[in-house]
Amino acid sequence: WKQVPPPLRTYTKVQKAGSVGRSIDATRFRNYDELKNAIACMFGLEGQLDDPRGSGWKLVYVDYENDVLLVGDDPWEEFITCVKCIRILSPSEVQQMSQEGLQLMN
Amino acid sequence: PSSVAAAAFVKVSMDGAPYLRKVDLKTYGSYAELSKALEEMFGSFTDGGSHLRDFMSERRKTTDLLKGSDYVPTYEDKDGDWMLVGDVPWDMFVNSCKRLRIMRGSEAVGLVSSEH
Repeated sequence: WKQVPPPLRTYTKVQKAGSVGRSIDATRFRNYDELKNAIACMFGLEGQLDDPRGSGWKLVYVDYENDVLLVGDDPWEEFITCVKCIRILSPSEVQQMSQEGLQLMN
Repeated sequence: PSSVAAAAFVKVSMDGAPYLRKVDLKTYGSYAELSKALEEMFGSFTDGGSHLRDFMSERRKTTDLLKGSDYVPTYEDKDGDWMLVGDVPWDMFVNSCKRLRIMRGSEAVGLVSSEH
């Protein structure tokens, strides 16, 4: 397995279907709570990203191996070195993506 | 923080799930504990919901699992080979696992049928 070395810090894109994209410098934040709050404010989703189990909205990111991962599993320091872009998934997008995934399998 | 063992974060993918997760294998003590954690993470993406329950401890029934539509846990080891989870002792697994994939049983048939 090969690992692509992350480039020098640039701004990270944050995208949500139907909204204009934003760019953030993830190193400005100290932890996941600060990051999620800032992103929630940018997209008018206050309070909906910090309770992922309850609300159904998911914050995912693409890393330098091009895998799509849930934001929050890695230690913060690890996350900022491997995040390439961030995407906000609505509850219906999550459902649609897992159904499409299952259909591909069948 | 008090743990002397370094963290061992690995990616976990599940066929059909919309995104991957990461787990620190060092925080689990057995296959059963890992299985439970993965069920909580991915249970909502399975067809019926309970296909992941204790799937690792049911390893002995592997051939039956593979015939149905259930899920089979596999991992990529240090050598880059994809192996069935559960064969080696837990500690050995933690040290050699680089990545986990919860595979649809129908996809994994080819992996195991050669054993018989």
